[in-house]
Amino acid sequence: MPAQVLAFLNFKGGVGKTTSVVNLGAGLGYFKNKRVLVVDLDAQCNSTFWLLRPDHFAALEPTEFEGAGSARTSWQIFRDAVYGTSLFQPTQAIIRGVPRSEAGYELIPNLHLLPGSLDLIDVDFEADTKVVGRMRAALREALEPLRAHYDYILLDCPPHLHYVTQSALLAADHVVLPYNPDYLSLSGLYTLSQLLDRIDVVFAQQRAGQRRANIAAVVICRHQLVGRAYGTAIAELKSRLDLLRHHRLVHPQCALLEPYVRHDVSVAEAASEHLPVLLHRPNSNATIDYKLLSNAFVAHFNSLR
Amino acid sequence: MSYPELAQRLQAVATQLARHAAALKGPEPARVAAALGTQLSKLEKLLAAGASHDTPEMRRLGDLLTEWSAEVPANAWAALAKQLALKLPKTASAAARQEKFLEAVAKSGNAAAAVAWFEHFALLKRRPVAVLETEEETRAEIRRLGAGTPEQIELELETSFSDAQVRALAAAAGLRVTPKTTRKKLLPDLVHYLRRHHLNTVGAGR
Repeated sequence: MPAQVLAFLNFKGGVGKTTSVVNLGAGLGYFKNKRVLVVDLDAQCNSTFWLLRPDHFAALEPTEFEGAGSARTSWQIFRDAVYGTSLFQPTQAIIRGVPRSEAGYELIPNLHLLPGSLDLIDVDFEADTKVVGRMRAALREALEPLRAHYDYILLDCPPHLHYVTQSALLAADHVVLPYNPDYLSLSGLYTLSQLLDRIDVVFAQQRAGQRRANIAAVVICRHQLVGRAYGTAIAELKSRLDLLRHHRLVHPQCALLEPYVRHDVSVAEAASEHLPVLLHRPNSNATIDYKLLSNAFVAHFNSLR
Repeated sequence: MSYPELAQRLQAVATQLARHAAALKGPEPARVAAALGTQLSKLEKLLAAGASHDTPEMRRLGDLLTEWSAEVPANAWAALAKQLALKLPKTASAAARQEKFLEAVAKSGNAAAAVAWFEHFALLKRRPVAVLETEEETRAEIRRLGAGTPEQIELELETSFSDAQVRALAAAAGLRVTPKTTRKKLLPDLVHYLRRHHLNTVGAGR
């Protein structure tokens, strides 16, 4: 069965997009034995920095994010679209079995990474109106031959809706929304759902009959049980999702996946260790939550196939 | 003598008094006039009280009280008195309470507000019982309730929701509900969070 392409998107920053992509991707590969490709589309390269040791990343980008190294990143997909070249080679660009040990051994063989590049920040400047259409379709076309090799392709999107994100929305089957339970995220969800709806209408022709990428799942990061702040905010999120489903602004089966991942300092430590939390602290609360969330994730997205 | 006959007599006395006031001399007319003035003041007060009971609003309020006062919970009476700034004495029977309430409203001149309150109450009592069978139905009810004022929400929770339903609403609104949590303890927080839930989800036209 071809991979489901899932865009992890929220145009509010700091809600746990990268944390979700890395740790859920690792959970799916490690606990569920799924074949997972993480595609880093953010110029901040957070997924890349999380899953690659700095020395390994330096080997990938020998000239400080310029020159030949960037050809082995997601950036080359867009550059090819802008300049009409075909330099992106997935077999060379995708790093298999990330993260790696110091000696270079694969720690999660099923987890692969297409790194990002700081050059991604230039994509929006390089795109003129003549190539915008090609750029938007570029990611979908680049990922199409990879679908057969994976169960899930997880797109770590930047926190905005510019061209790179638009290309992710055209490439994706569904959107997964990482969410912090507070009102700022709640208002962002409403705006995002409307923007996705508008983008879908504007780019309808370029989708070539595909289903619209829409918010199909919400995952909660850094949940805390202290007091009532999170409980009441999650109740409001559920209520907003009821309304968005009713107005068809999210997928009809859009679900708030459980469990909510508890706040756990091990996750922040894990990023500094360049490891998913399940390898860094196997018995932590976050590992337990990501393991259970992986089960819920597989069940939910199987039901959407 | 009837009241209309008394009115005619008083008018005749008033006319004569106006014409011949200068003819009244000495202590006797002064004593009678003082006594008459005292009695007239009493009569004026009685007339004013009677007139305030005889407005369309007071008549409507009387009808509403007859129909609904027995169903108003004690807490709701207290809240209503507070809202209308009335001082209601503690009374043993519903009939006495109704009478005292009417008097207090007539005195305060708050008949229109009292009518509005009882009409809202009547509306609540006539509403179909809320269905809270699924989480989604419960959240829809939270959004509907949250649109009201704190007083309206409190009244509706008091009058139309069982303890179990109040607990279900609180849990669906994200409040922690344990077996020991009482309705009385839940209500103030619940009213606040119902309103916030409405504001944050469907407020401002969203």
